[in-house]
Amino acid sequence: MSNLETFSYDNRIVRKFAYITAVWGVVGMLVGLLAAFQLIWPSFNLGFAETTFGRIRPLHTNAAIFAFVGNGIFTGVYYSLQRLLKTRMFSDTLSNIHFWGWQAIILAAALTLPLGITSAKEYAELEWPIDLAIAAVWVVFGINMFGTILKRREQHMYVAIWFYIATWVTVTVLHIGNNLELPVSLWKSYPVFAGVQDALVQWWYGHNAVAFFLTTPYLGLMYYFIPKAANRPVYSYRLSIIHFWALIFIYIWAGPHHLLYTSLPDWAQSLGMVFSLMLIAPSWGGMLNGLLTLRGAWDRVRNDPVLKFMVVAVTAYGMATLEGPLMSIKSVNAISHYTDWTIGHVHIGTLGWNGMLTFGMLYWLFPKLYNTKLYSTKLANAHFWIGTLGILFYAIPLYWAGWTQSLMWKEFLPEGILKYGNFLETVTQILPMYMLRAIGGTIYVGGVFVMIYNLIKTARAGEFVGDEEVQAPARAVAFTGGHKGEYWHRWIERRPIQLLVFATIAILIGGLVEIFPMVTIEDNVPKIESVKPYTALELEGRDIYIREGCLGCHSQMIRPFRSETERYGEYSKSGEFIYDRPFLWGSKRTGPDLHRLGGKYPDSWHFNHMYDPTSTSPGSIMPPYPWLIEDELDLDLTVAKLKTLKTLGTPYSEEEIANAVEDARAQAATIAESLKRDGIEMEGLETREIVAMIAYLQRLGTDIKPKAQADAE
Amino acid sequence: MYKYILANGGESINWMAIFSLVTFVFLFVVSAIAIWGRSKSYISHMETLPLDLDEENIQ
Repeated sequence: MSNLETFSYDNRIVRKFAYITAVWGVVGMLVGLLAAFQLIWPSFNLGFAETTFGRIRPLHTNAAIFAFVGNGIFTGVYYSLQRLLKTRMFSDTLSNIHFWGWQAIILAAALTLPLGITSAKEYAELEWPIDLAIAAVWVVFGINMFGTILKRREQHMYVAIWFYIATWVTVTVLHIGNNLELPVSLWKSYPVFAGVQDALVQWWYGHNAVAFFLTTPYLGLMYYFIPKAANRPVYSYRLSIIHFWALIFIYIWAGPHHLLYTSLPDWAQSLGMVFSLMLIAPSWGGMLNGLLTLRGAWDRVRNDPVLKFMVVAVTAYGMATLEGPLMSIKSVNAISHYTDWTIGHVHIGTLGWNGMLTFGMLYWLFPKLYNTKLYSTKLANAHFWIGTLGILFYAIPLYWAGWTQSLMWKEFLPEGILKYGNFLETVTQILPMYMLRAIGGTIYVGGVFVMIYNLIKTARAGEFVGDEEVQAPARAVAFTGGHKGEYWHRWIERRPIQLLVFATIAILIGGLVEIFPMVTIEDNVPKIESVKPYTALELEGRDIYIREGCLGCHSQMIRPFRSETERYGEYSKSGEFIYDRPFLWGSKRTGPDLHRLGGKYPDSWHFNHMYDPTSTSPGSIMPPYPWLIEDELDLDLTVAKLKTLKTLGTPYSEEEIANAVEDARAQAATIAESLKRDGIEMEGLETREIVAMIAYLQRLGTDIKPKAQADAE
Repeated sequence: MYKYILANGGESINWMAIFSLVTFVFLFVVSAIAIWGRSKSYISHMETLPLDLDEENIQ
């Protein structure tokens, strides 16, 4: 025993992350609940700009993904990594910098998103100073994790650790790739890419945020905590190897399935679809591995709430990873895109896979950390059933809503006209489903409160062991040298740097094949002569649109289906978006598509609609935006914005930039005149934000107006 | 046949889909070969790593 070393595991950092996971879970879910209520009763927008749905929705997504799941990842990683490698974390200081840095980022998000400081890139809304902070904290985490791996006593790296390594490197690449932006000011930036290219980069990122933040680290946690909870080894280690490499390689390509039937080139859409379908194999490999680990132990699942949570989590993972690929089939996506089916699908994954696995992990961890038994198995079992019920009440109404809405959008009368020509009819029809969804969310959050009570009582009953002393053979003894003819994968598992390099290569390939041609081959985005950059006033209006989060409910991408061209106008061409920074195609139609809104309604309609949507659209669930009429339009950054866009490639002339403010004021005066003619008179109306918003909305989709129509005007 | 491919292949053959299928097959074949060569004792060591010596810490 003389070669045994005594050291201790750091449980303090695990406890910190565990507690904060639960706290942010509640916060993120309550914000989600608020959003759910807002869709039923618009009065829940509370009359403040900061609490409108458009600003609240990204707060919810960021809180759920980065605050709840993010801290859950770190809880599990910090616990499992030390024990799998039989060593304490590389640096307690870095552990704490990571913890406090991450929470500071979350607080920054909680402040900036309601203030409308957003890049409008889904799941990457945070503006550039916070992006830099994320990068710094992520590097700290990486140093701490790799430092721990390099000082390990256990030579071989268990499969969970490969998932952690792949997570770390891919999130790094994605974060940099999708946040390439040029700042205009401290809180505003424009992305390097525009239009179609921006869309592709965004969804290369967006889908892989799902893959490498919501999936791979949790698969790592699954590979650790299910064997621990069941006290048996994983079903097939060989399967874990094959599905790891297949998963990380294939997932990257799936991004374009968010852009099916849009103006993304067909070859990219095909790739996205086919690779998404192929993804079923490695995803189900993981699911089967998790579930079959419990073969012969299913009687324990009956009594152990931890195993119950884990089984439902893995099942939900399997469900979502079958549903997702099926929704990636173009003909299915033609029905599901922009509907609540997508939201239902997302929440099977987040509530089912991420939520339930987090709860199972916490229920398993707390007794271990506090050296005691779980306070109440009955309450944990109750939470399990509450959570499962919550998921069902959440998802099933949304499937119903999604199909209802989609079919209503597509239905024609025998005469050949749309049956539901008024989009609002398709919204009011699904409000009962929204109510059921809100009930589901409430039930689910209720379960989380039950968990928090149980965990606090557990902690109080036990005694926390901050530094858990252990013994393990010393590194020099534990490490055996390599031997000739050693199989290459065993060699990789002993060499963390090589694993990192190969994983990086695997994840870069998909991105390069899809993005590189889009950026370098001009034919992929056919130019349209008549498309011109936005005027200064229209640009300011666009930035207000971004600030208010209109993107959360309105799309700007008309698909080439007759049901869409009949409802909205000519389908959207890629060349129309070449000056759109960021792209605003949207993912959801709670309200109608806006791409051909320009010229459809008079300026006064837009004024009234923004002031009180129900005045023009009775029954609308859109919140009112009276502050657009009350607040002065700030033109301080206009020149800087045009200069930044010119640097990025938008062909503004020097004259346009020099005269930007003057031109904006002139265009604003024209709009104010038009409003006055329609009976809307107000002191200083031409200086208010509403005229900029009207300018932008009236510009939408007008670049390719058919000649006859243009001549008539 | 070659004339057809050279003349029309750019538009009418979905090269990207073919490429993706070939990539998929290649990846799986390589992974499968890599996995079948593992020794049983090594596999059994790796799969029990999470279960080793955690609760029985020597204080």
